[in-house]
Amino acid sequence: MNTYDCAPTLRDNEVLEFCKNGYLMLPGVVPEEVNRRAIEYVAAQPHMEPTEILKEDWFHENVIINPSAAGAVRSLLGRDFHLPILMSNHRVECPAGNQGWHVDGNFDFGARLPYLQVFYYPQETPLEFGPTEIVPGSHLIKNVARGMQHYDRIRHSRATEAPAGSIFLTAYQIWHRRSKSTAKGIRNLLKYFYWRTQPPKRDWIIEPGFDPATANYTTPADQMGDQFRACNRVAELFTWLCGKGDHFQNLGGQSWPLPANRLGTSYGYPEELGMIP
Amino acid sequence: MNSDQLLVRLLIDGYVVIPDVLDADEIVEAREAFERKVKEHKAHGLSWVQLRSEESMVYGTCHPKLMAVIDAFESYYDQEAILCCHNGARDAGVRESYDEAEEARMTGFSADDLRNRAGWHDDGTVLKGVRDVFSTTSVTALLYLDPTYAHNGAFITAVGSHHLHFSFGTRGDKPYYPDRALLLDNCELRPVPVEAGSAILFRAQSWHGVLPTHLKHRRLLVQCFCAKSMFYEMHGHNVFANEAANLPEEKHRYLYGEEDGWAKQKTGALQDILYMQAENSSLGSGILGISMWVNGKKQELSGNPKEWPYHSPLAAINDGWRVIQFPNLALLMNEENPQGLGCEFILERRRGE
Repeated sequence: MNTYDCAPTLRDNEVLEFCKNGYLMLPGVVPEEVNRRAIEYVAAQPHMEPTEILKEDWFHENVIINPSAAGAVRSLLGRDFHLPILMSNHRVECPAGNQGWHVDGNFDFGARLPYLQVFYYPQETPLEFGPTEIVPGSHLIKNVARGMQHYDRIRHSRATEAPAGSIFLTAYQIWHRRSKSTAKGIRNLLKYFYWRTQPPKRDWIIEPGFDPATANYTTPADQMGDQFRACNRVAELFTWLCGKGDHFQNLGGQSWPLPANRLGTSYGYPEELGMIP
Repeated sequence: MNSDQLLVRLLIDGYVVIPDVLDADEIVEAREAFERKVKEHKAHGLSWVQLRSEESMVYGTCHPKLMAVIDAFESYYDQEAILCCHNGARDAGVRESYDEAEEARMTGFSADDLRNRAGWHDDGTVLKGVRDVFSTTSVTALLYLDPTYAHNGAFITAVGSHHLHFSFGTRGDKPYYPDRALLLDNCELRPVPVEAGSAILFRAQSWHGVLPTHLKHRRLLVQCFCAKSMFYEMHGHNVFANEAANLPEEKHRYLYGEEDGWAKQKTGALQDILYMQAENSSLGSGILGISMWVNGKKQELSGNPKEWPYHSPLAAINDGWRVIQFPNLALLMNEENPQGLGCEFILERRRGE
């Protein structure tokens, strides 16, 4: 298997933020020289799947196992995660209209994280170049691409405008689209995929003082469904990432993991998770 | 009567006769043209397309004596007249089976005959799907090439019956269809015989019919007019458009064409659509998402929710949008597994309203 391992770089709260939002932006983590070479490479291979770039050492070392990106992937997918096997380039001649909202096919909306979809901007991508627009928290709300094509503006959506060399990780099923571009030129957006090979485990950076029993699990997705449901999903996903998914429970009403100012311990918090100070 | 007087009768009675639209020579020419086409097409009912090569048929279409009254009628509603449907010409006489003795035996119709043998209807109801405000401003012109008689083949109308066809509400969307028996009991059922070359104008909401005939010929041209701003209501019906090449320039003002948006009419793109994904099922709910299609094009809405055109379905309704689909509550019941973006309202607005 083509796997890789490295030290995790995310802390408890950063992992939890990923669970809430479904994405993590790492701005400008790829060196400028590598960005330049990547742009030259895809200009010479202007098709939608320049997979051969994965064989380039300079690309592998600086993008695929980029310390910041790989460390984040390691944090979320565990050790010995599987490396990408295919490279897509969402190459667009700007100006161009926006895409329809969609989730990429073959998704899993369960409260687990078996894989990550990752994007790399080799060039600066301001709003004028139509960066990918995402709906934070939407990875928790089931949808299908063919049922989303009439959506347009969505409250709390966010454009991922970013400096050159930015990488952002997403839960695969997050709702997204290419936003409208107004500038002239080519926009490249490389997209690839990592898989989990190990059972989930809380082996990222343990953050002193972080207590899953009292952590705030609220998410932007709370507004998209009935009260607290998305919040529960965040807690379920985080619990799963801790390797305790079988012990997740929801005792209803005001119990954990609802955000609340409770007396004493968080009623309903599963003891199997431990970590209560 | 001058055109103002004719208009008054049309407004009050729901119909009016315009005498001498065609003179004697013009009647002969029109009849000959009609018969040429009957022979050519082997039919007694001929479409505009079949007739438009005949000069006399073009002459009778949007004839100035008709349009003087129709223009005045549309102006009364602050509208412009447009020829929305040309039903060509037809001969409703018995033609080859004509029997002079049989005709001579027609002595007239009893009150029961007038009620039961005329095929009573109103054109607003026949044109399914049009709004009441469209029917209110629509008129049909029957230009006769042959005379009719009260006891034989005349048009008949329930005088003033259009007054009973009115709208509730403020937007003219809910036509009230009067009870047929009540209407026929309370209106004068008046046969309207005409001389050849005369025309009858009647309103779409005016109840009318045709009395049985033993006439050899009862040839007439049928043209329907509406308010130009409501032409789109005819979408899906047999419409008259893009015919400028077949009518003289002075009549082009009564024609609907590409410059008026005919291409869009054909595709039915005049229904504007507003999708609103709301936080909950209330009309007053805030919204999570919005998209709007106007005149066949998706509108570019601001990425800033504060700048969205509406902030609740109710605000859109108050601006003239009508809900055509409420949120499907069945989709909300699986709260363990939320799906989709909020409670979706779909609203429509039809241009010209």
